[in-house]
Formats: sequence, structure tokens, C-alpha cells
Amino acid sequence: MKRLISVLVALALCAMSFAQTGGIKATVVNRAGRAPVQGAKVELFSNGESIAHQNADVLGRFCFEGIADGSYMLTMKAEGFLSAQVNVIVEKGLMRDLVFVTLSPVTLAKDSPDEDNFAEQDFQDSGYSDAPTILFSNDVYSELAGFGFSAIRFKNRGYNSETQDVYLAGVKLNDAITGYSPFSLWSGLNEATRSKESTLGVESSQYGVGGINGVTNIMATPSSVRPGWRSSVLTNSSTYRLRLMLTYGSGQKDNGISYAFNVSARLGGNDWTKGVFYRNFAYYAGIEKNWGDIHRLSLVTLASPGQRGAANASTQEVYDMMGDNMYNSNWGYQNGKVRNARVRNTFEPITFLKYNYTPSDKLSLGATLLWRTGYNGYSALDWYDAADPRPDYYRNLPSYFSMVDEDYDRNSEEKAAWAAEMWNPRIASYSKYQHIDWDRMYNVNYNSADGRSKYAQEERHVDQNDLHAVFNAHYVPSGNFTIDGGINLRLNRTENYKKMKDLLGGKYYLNIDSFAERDFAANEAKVQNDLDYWVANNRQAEKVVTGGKYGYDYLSQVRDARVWASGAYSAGGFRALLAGSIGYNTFWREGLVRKGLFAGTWDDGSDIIIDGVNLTQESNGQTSKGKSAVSGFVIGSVKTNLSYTFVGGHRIFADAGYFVDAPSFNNSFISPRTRNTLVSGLKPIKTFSGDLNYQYSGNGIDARVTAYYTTIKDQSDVMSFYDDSQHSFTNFAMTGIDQRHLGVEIGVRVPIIDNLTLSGAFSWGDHIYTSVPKMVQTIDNSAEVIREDDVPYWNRTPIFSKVKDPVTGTEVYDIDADDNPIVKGYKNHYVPSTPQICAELALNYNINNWFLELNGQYFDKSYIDMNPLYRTTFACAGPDGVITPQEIEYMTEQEKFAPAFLLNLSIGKTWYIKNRQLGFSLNGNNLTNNRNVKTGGYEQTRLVTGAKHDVYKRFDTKYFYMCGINYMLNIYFRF
Amino acid sequence: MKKYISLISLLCLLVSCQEFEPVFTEKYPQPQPYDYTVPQANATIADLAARLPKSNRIKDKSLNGVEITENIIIEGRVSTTDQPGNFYKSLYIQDETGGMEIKLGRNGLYNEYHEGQRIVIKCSGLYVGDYGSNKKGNGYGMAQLGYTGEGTDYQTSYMEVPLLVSKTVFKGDPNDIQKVTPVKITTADQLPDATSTLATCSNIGKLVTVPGLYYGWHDPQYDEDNGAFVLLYINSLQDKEASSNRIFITGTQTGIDTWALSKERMTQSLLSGKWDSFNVGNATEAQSCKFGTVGDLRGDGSYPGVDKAAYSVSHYFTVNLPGSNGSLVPIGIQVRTSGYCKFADSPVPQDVLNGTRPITVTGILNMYEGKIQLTVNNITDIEY
Repeated sequence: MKRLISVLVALALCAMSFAQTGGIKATVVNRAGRAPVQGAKVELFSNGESIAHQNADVLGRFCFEGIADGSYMLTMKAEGFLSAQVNVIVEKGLMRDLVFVTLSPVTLAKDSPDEDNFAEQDFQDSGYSDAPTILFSNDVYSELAGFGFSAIRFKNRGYNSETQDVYLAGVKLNDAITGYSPFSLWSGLNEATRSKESTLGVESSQYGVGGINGVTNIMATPSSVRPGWRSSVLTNSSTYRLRLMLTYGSGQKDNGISYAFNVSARLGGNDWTKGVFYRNFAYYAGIEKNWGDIHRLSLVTLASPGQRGAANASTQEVYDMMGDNMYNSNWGYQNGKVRNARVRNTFEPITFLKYNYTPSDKLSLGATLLWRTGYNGYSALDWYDAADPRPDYYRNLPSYFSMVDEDYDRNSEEKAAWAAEMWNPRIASYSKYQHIDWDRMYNVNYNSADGRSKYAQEERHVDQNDLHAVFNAHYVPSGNFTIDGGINLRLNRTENYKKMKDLLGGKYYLNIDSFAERDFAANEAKVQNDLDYWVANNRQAEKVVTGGKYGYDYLSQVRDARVWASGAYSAGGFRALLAGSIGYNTFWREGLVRKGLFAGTWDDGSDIIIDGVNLTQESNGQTSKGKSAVSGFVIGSVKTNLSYTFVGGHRIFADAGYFVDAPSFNNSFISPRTRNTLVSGLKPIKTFSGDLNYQYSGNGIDARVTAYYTTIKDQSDVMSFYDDSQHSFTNFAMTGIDQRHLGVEIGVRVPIIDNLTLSGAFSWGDHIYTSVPKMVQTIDNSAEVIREDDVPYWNRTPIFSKVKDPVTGTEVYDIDADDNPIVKGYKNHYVPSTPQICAELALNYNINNWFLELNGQYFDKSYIDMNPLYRTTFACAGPDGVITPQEIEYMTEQEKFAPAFLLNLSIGKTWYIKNRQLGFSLNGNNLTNNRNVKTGGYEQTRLVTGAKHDVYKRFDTKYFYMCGINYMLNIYFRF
Repeated sequence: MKKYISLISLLCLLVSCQEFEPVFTEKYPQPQPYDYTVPQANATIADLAARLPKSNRIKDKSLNGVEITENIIIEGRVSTTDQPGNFYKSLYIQDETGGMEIKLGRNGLYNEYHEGQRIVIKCSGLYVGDYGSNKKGNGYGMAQLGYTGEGTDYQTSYMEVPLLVSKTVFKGDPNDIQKVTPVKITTADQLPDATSTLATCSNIGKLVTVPGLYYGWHDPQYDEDNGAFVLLYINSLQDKEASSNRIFITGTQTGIDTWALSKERMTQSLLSGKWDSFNVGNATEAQSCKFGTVGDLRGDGSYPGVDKAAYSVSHYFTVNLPGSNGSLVPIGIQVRTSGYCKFADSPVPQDVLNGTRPITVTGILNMYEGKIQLTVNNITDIEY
């Protein structure tokens, strides 16, 4: 690598020797589109002192003449771009022509449809989509990884979305309930949210101490929106058909007022995943007043309302039968029209009022009040006492009838053949079996007694009211000392409930719990979702009509208060920062309806006795209505960043931090839909992270090398699933999950010859689980604890020693003197759903406002998301309770995905017509049409009893795939 | 600019209507009611049952049902419902000549096959098989229609695959409902004997009403008095045939006073200790107490050694009906009810249990090992 770099450096220097005499010149261009950056401020420094400055002309050119020999530093700044610096040596009185200096937009390197540019996917039915891979920074690695690795859902350093601190107007907006990064709240507002400030990894920021995965602050104030009109039309084949966007930024008027708006629409389906569609709109409007650069007040409102159809994961068996790894089981034909059952329907407006007070260069104070409200619904099919309508339900597949593995005891070849025939995609009339059969569901409802719907479409709501008050201060007591600090207060009240979206031809849906009915069919009170209603209405369950709430209804209440401060000291090339925060996070559940299963007591505290049955006693100490116990955690963090910049563009820096965070609400309640029960043994999450970095920027070369190490301890996780051994729906709470992440990141960009640049990014990680967590499994209907144990195979699979049986000559497991199998080592289990090895090599060519980029990417070491049930002693032991090495190996091993190679090409051009810009960019992705790239998936939690009643067998894993060859064309016009 | 606008228009055109129309309106066209035309029947249920040879009327796991290779089409009206849960995954249809279980193998059948709805079945490719005949072949069970039992312990299997079901089973108009009228049993010759088939007794598999049922039955063969009967398992995931895995709660002192045992009710009964003296195992092993008693499985009081689940219960009744010579013949009839049904825990009144009060039961007339069983659709089919 070193040799390559030096060769390239030499090449670059050769190129420069064609320079003219007299000083330094270059053209400032946008790295994204190679468009000239008109008006960029270019400043020349000698020994740390500014000696000259210019604004780039309309073609982005600048030229400093009459410069003496010596070392200089050039800095370039432009609105909407990250500032950059270049070291230049002027020798022998020659004019150094740097040809191009590139500025990176403060956003993705290339235009992409959206930051969350994925088709929405159901992930273990969580209803949340993955977060985008975002790493905005003035950094070559981040540029390449941030955009280039997103198609495969790369997670930076293997971290979850929760670790990305995302701020809007200085307010941290990570979801109060889940911690997830909130990009979807402003998706489609690319222009209004383009101005960002970001830090990487453990670096601190002026908006807060931050965590381990960078801080991104989206400015979102009207003055930060680039002045002028911007419009664009975008079409692409992997997410949605069409995006229209219009933006206007006034810039600051003479009266100190600036205003801006941004509207967009994203519409249609795509070429790869049927049933997925967008009907999304977005708006941003803001006004700001500046009084003499001392007082600034801005008022902004924005939202991204609309509907999106989601895609679903299926098993490989289904994909193979359909001949399509992008098969989506969420849709079906309704009277000939494609209809998706799983549609996200959101309108979550954010409004903020921001005030800044800057009495001097040394002090600025700010206060922001931000409110997020609205609704977030996610539809799904609901059914009562009727056949499972999901086309890829396991009983509809050939594997349910016949399996090669005899242990499954499935040997009905004939039925398997019928099932295989049913999945023949070439027979059009079988579409009703291969996709959701809406017509059948309507017909069942048409003929249902009394018009009671047996099938319906529900909408699960998570409607937030999120109020923030943020105060911050920035103070510079002396030239080399800076202090930042602030207070963040948050109040979140989220209502979770189900709403009837569509009765599918019926008249009403009965509000009872069909799962409870399986166990308590004889007790009508216990199957009520709303016992109070049933009691008050003559023992009739509510007949829910369209728009009605049913099922469950509870509030998640979260309060969070924290103060933070950071101090930075710089002298010469040295900079040191120390930051810390402390706060308190508290949350509780508040049930709004009384469920028959967990009735608790009447509101006056007396026992609930119905027909002689004491439901209070039957509640097993649990309650569904009212306020739960309040959970509270002291949270805090400390962080330090040290850096030293050497002469000549070299910089080394190191960061370290320790963080104590509260577990999120969604990982703290065992079954929030039914009861107030907290997971026992909840602990704050403790994270340590450190990194060591080397950066070089000079002579057109940009490079960074980073090594990082992180440990995350005491995480918790809850899930609910049907447990075949219990014939019951169960809740599974896991605590004490520890992870360790370590790895190396390398990013390099070198000019090769005129107009041609080579960039490379490489990431190697080793992100593993390091603990044996604890689990508690309860029956959902009764809260009865059925298992309380370790999850011994969560973090690794033992490798058993094998020997040749001297008699039979076959390989058998070796045993020790006590007849126990001998473990000779372990296979680690990895943090899933991201490649841990990624590499990209890109060639950039640009000339006359054309740009061309060809890049190749390689991804490896990506793993399946594990189901903890399969890592318990119980599952490995099988129904006979006897655990064997074969069972452990079979049940606990974590699947590794095959490596993937992708080839992408981008081309673009900008024309300048009288101060107006017309341009396009066209990206062709996955040109080799690789359709076998798994981007994620999950293991099902079901168990099959083996033929000999001695082992459990697994259900097939479900996968998500990346789409094949796809394009994106963006045409923009700026005036 | 013009070019720009025309380009946008072009792009808009590119977007297909299918993607946009329902998406924009959020309204999907309401599906039409199905067309319920059915093929013409050419055989009766008894004709179909006659395909099952005597050689199949025996308990033998290796036997497969008989494949129907000709174009036999039968028709009947649905006589059962799986809504309360006493029938599960299958339904009965009947015509003049008899009734038969159709092993569809899907849940929630009542949603699509209503009681009294006309059903037509193209039997070609399906299998007729026996269920419930005894090992000696002198006590018959029932002929059933399903799919091949190859590879299973049974002569037929559930049809299950939706494509198979929709290619063979056709529904008549759901608005043309003619509920089946139960056959009232007033004489002994209306009921089958141990080796009756539809050829000799057309009431088999039909919905019948039997009045005058008194609790309890004396089994002359073993000289035993029978009340309730339930078969528990130590571990239902283990071999259910293994003697060591079975507990028979039977006789007149079972303490079972509900029509069946839901999981909750079964657990309560077990934990009460009232079954402690019952032995584990089939008849011989149980008698010798080879595997111990239920009480031995008590553990810490939670009986970890017994599978707590819903269990079906048979209650034995006797009806005295006039025989061919006019004198009353006592006939034993079991009322068998699933622990998973919604009325599982409905109590059997005390005066019924003590034999003083007769009941009238309407249910499907089944045979199991030559004996008569009634399976009710709902608790309302039992009248006191």
C-alpha cells in the first residue's frame, strides 16, 4: 500500500510540473458533481498567518500570483460544503497549478434519492426500517463509505442506529422510545437539511458530547438553506419511480430576514420489489430574523407525510420457487390491483423556535424549543379464527410436507409436489396462492354471520408527542480556549394503539384477544381486550368499526434531563478536549385499557370478581391499566479528544469516551401491549470506546487510517414469539448482552493524472458478542415464568473434538474421562446485519464539467441476526432433555453470508447558462446484476420436534436481498 | 426550460398506472363476490364409502387408504362447524346415504364452509381410508376422505395444500343454506353395530339426535363400569404410543365433571391431587404399576412430570332403545369432547353425573373400534 501511495504521489507531482510560473492556481469543484463552486472563499496562509484571500469566479477558478517560494496552506470554504485545506509548496518561482481542489458537499457525495433510501422492510415485524449509513464528514473514508456502502446496509463500525446522535437545529432527536436515529422524519427534504455539521466516531461536537458513532447536526435554519431556486426531478429503479423537488432560499435580506421553503413528492413503485410504493410528500418552511448578528430568531416547521408500502423477508425456499430473491409476500391482487398489506402511514410534523444571542465573538447563547407530534401508523393484516392469510406461511410450502432431513419427519412427497405446483410463478391463476388473496378475505367477510370481519387491516400506531427545550452556550475566554455547554430537557408522551384501517368488506371487528381465547376460551372476561367496556356494555365486546382503536392502548412516558459541558484547548498544532455530561432518564408505561388477562384491581383498588372468578388473583400480580413502576437511571458520559497537526498536513488524533445510558423503553417492558411489567435486572448500558487516527492532507492526497476499540455492556432485548414446546405465545427478555467492536478504517484519495483520481476505502472489523446473557421467558397469556436461565450459546458455538471410531472408522465426538465431549475451541458469534469487511476502489474522471466515476466494492463477513431461543440449553437439549454435541453445533451456529462484489458507474454533467445551472447525474448500480447479495435477515423462533422426539429442528431463516442492476437519474435546474 | 418540462412529462408518463392509481386514491376496488358454480355430482357418499374394502377396516399403521382413480363426484351439505372448536381441521358432509368426514386440514373452516352449505367434491386423486377400526378388525371405525396416508400412521392425511383443496372441493352458493336436520334415534336398529358400514347403516357420519341418555356404561366385555375417560401424556412431544408416556384416567371415580378439560382446568385437576392414585401405562403396565402413579410425578407440587395441556374427554352414557324384537336394548354411547373447544369446561350437571337425569344429545354419529361416539358441534347440542 505504501509503495502504491508513493508511486501515486510521484505521478501527481509529475503532473504538477507542467505548471506555469507565478504562484498558485486551481479550480474549486464540487466533489459530488465536479461542478465549479462559484464564490468559494479561498484563503492563503503562510506560517499560520493569512496572507491573501480570493473568491473563486463563476467557473470556480482562483489564482494567487506573485507568491514567493515556500510552504503555504490553502483553505477553501463555501456554503453547503465542508471546508478543506491543502498544503502547497511553491518552488523556483513557478506557478503551481493544482488543477482541481475539491470540496465535499455537507451531504452525501453523490445525489441519492434519500438518506433513508431503502425500500421499507419489515424486520422481525418491528415496524421500523433500518437507519441509513451516514457518515458526513470532510473525510475521504466517510465520503466513500457513507454513500458507497449504504446499498448493502453497512453499519458504521458495526454499531446500531441508536448510537448515531442525530440533532436537528441543535436538538438531539433520536427516538425517545427506541433510540433509533430519526432521519425518516425529514426524508424528502434533502435541500433544507443539506447543511450539516458532523463529527466522526468518538469525536465530540459543539452541540453535545455525543456518543461513539459521531454527531450529526442538521442546521435546518432558513439562513442555512442555500440561496436561490433549486428544482430537481429524479427517477430510480430501486426505490420509487419519481421524485420532484423544489427549494427556495432567500438568503439574508437587507432587513435581516431570511426565509426558505422546500417541498417534494416521492411517488411510485420500483422495478425490483413489487408492492413497494411511495406516496410521500414533504414540506419545510422557515423564517429567520437576524438583528445585527447579535440576535437571531428562527421559526421552522417541517414534515414528511405520506404512505410507503413495505417489503418483507421470506425463506430461500420461497425465493427459489418464485425465481426471485426480491419476492415480497406483503402484497396481493385485489380485484386485479396490487395492494400492499403493510403500509407505513405517517405525518409527524416538527416545529421549532430557535433563538441565538451572540453579543460578541467570544460568547454565544442559544435556546431552542422543539415539538414533534402527529402520527405514525404501520398497517398489517389482522384475523380472527380464520386461516393464516400470509402466502408464505410455512404450512403452504413444500418443505412443510417433505424434507430431505429425516429428522423433520416430513415425507409426504405428493403434497410437497402440490405445494410446489402452487408456487409455480409461470401459472398466472396461482398468483392468489403466491401473494395475498384479498379477494378471498373479502369473500369470507361478505359471508360472515352478522357482518363480523374475520380478516381486517389494522394500523399499529406509535404516536409521539416529543417536546424538547435545549439551552446552550459557547464561550471563548481566550484565543486558544473554548468552552461549550448546555442543558437538554425532553418530555415524551407516546400513545401506542391499534386502529382499524379497513374491515375488508365486513361491518365490524370484535375487540377480543384471540391468543387469550386459545387458553381461556371458557372465560369470556379474560379474553377481553377492554374489560371495562365489556362490563359497562352488558358483557358485549366492542364492535370496532373503521378508525376505531382496539387491541391495546398505552402510553410510553419518557423524561430525560441532562447537562453537558466541554472545554477545548489548542496551542500550535495541539488540541485537547475534555467533555462530560450527566443527567437522569426516567420512563414508565401507562395502560389506558384494562385487559381481561391482566385486569389488576378496579380503579378503587378492590378486587375484580366476575362470575365468581377473581380476575385480580388470576392476573398473577400483573396489571394492564394504569401506571407502571417508574424506572429511573442516572446517565452520563466523559470524553476526551486529543489531536496534533504536524507541518505538512499530517495529523494524529485520538479519542476516548465512557458512556452510561439508560436502556430504551422498548427493551424494558416484557410485553408492553398487554401489561405493566418491567424486565427484571435492567441495568444502565455501559459503553467504552477509543480510537487512534492518522490523517494526511496535502499535495492532492487525502488519507486517513483509524483503529478503534469499543465495548458495550449490559444491553437488554425483549421479543415475543410462539413457543412450540409450550403451545403458547411467549415473551422472551434477555439482559446482560455485551458486545465488543474493534477494527481499522482506511481511506485514501490520490490524483493519478490530470482529471483522474483514485480513491479507496477499506474497513475491517471484528464485532462480536462477548457475554452469556440471562433470559427470562414468560407465557404471554399468564405472565407465568417458564424458563429463567443463561443463554449459554449466545456468544459462541463450541467446537468439539472429533476422533475416528476405531471400530467403525467413522468420525465421532471425542470424550473425556467423565464421558463429556471435549471442547477444543469456540466459534465467535458476530454482531449481525452489516458486512464487517468492506472495500471500495473508485476512479474519478472529470473534465469540462463532466464527471465519471467507476467503482468496485467488496463486502464480506456479514452475519445473520440470531434468535436467542436457538442458543438456549433448552433448544439444544431437545424434547428429551439430553444435550449432545451434534445438537449444539446444529442449533447454535451463526450463518455467515457469502461475500459480494458490486460494480457501479456514475456519470454527470453541469451546464452553466447565464448564472443558471442545468445538470444531471446518472448512477448505474450493481452493473453485474448480482442478485444474490444478502443484506440481512433473521432466524425464525419456531421449533420442530424431531422424528425420534430427541432433537429440535430449526425453522428456515428469512432473508433480505439487495436488488440487481438499478439506475438513478437526477436532473436539476438551479436559478 | 421547455425541454425540461417535456422531460418531466415524459417521466410522469413512464410511471405506470398500476403503481399509481390505488396509491393515490387509497381506494382499492371492492372484490366481487365469488362465483359459486359447482360440478354435477355422479355418486353418493355411500358409493364412495363402499370403495373402502374390508381389508382396510383394521388398525394397521402400514395401511394406506384407497386412491380414487375414477371420476367420482359426490355432493352433500355441511353438517359440522369448527367454530366452537370441537371439530378441528375437518368437516362432515352428508347426503341421504350417509355422512363422511372430509379432511381438509385447514383452520377456521366455518368461515368458508358454512353449516348447511352445499359442497361438491371431485374425488379423483383423493383417498378413502379407515380411522378407528380395532386391531382385530371386528370393531369398525369410520371411512374418511382425505389425501394419501403414505408415510403417516394413518390411512388418509389432511389435504392441507390450498391448491389441492381448491381443485377438489367446491363450495355451493353460501346464500343457499339448508341446515341438515338431525336424524332422531328412537330404535336400536337406527344405530350401527360393531361392523356396520354405510352400506348397512346410513346414519353413520350423519347428524343424529339421541334422547334418553343416562350417565355411565357397563362394559360387558371387561365387566367394567365406565364414567369419564381421558388419556394424559407424560410428555406429548415424546412417543404418544409408548406405554410409559400414557396415563389413563378412567372409571367412575375420575372426578371429571366438565365435558372436556381445557389446559387451565386440567392443570387445576392435576394439582388438586385427585388423580394421584391413577397408574401410569397401558392396561397391563398400569395394572402392575410398572411406571408408578400420578402421585409419584407430583414433584414440588407442580407435577412437572405430566404434560399440562388441554385434553379430550369421553363421557359414557347408556341409552335403552327398542330392539328388533321390541324389548329395550342398552346401548353404550360416548360423548367425546375436545379440550380445545370453547365449551370444554362447561359442567356436566351433578344430577346427570349421578345418573338420575337423562340428556338428549345431537351430534355426529361416529364409530370407534366398533363403539358409538357422538361429537357435538356446540354445547347447545346437549339438552338436559
